[in-house]
Amino acid sequence: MKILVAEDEPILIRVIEMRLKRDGHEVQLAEDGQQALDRLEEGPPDLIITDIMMPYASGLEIIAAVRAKSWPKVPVIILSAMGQEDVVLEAFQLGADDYITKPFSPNELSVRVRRLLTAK
Amino acid sequence: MFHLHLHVSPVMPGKAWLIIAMLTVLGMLVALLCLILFFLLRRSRVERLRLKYQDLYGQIIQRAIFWEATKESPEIAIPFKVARSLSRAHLRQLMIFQLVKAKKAMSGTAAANLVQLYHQLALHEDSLRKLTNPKWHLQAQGIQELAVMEQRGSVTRLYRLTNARNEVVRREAQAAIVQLYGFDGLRFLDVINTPLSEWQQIQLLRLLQQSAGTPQEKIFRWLTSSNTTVRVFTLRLIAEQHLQQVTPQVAERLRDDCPAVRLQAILCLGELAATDTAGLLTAAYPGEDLAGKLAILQTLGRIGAEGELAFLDAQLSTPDNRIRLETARALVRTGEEGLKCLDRFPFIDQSPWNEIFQQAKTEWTI
Repeated sequence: MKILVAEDEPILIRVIEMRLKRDGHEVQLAEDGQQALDRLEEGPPDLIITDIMMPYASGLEIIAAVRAKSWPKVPVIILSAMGQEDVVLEAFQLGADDYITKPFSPNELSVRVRRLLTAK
Repeated sequence: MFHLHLHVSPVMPGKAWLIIAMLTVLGMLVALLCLILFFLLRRSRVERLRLKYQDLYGQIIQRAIFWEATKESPEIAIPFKVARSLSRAHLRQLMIFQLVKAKKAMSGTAAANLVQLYHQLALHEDSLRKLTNPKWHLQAQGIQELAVMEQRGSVTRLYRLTNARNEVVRREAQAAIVQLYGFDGLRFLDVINTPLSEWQQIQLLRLLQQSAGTPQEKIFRWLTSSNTTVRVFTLRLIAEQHLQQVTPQVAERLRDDCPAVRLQAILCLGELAATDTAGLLTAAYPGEDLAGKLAILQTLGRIGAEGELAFLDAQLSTPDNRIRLETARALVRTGEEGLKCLDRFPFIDQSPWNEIFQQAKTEWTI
């Protein structure tokens, strides 16, 4: 499955990439919001994992951009920091499917990805 | 030839000096440019090296996150190049910085592995050394590193800094202790003789949100602490944790000498909202200053003061419009009986009561 990961923290994005690749997924990386939006222009991924606070475009803008497309539903997992409950609610209103709060375990992320892809 | 010319031309001494001055300035400009160039090149080299090692350390951290201990490899493998680079202090700091950043985002086994790497590279010794550095910002940095990397073994040294003279160091040490030990970490409240700022109190309450098991006997002691801010903080903590069992001790704080403590006790009782809260608050009302009186009226409105309608009715006739408005709000919030009380008020059609009542009713409808 093709997964787009948008995260501006270099170590974190590589950790997520490593975990997803171990699970056999094809991973597209975007190190800021604009890169993620550009990647979306190339076609729909099977799932998106996005941080909320990123340079150039936020995770919320990415969700809005995905939902504005006429693609079959692409599940979106958001990565949020503690204390961002309001933003998480906004993300759900925009159409996010799940969220993970940092600090998180890569294994937990893997399970959530699997669950969403199975339910798709 | 030029030199000779200077000596054989006595008719032009001014021009010669001008040339010497120009050459000197030119020489200085060239030297300055060389110096700038040297520093620019050096900075770019340092930056290049930093990026190189940042990338290298990032790879080690990624590997550490997915590392699983086996009999053959009980420790995380560190390449020779990395181990050698870590003999330099600034690169060790770069590794600590990267590790701390990664640790903040990870939990579970991944986080435990990062702590293991921090120990394996003896980076905790660098963090501990910072605690004795005369520069306060380095002390604060060391405290943060130890807290994020869950260094419970350094509690004694951290605990000593909870009463440090520097406010930032003190704040970081208190937060670190609470982060590591939850409610048990609050034992610094027994001894601190410096004030806990409003911001610090909010910070500590946020850190305690995930903790369980409030130490009740300590709470009794902190409620009577000689440090006013400790008493205020304890009342906030009681309200946040809804510790109903200490309601009598909170009520005693309504007679505290400090207005800030009394105000917090009123707000705390409002959160606990026991059956006798309204009675306790109305009894304390006459002895309160304006802020305290307004807080009592707000609290009565919030907890519903059906049994205190006569008391509220009497406050409508006080000369202060702020008290009249807060009383009207409390009556409106009390419900039907409160509204009837307003309607029965003899000066309902007169200014300023008509405006005040209208304001209170409109706010409630909105």
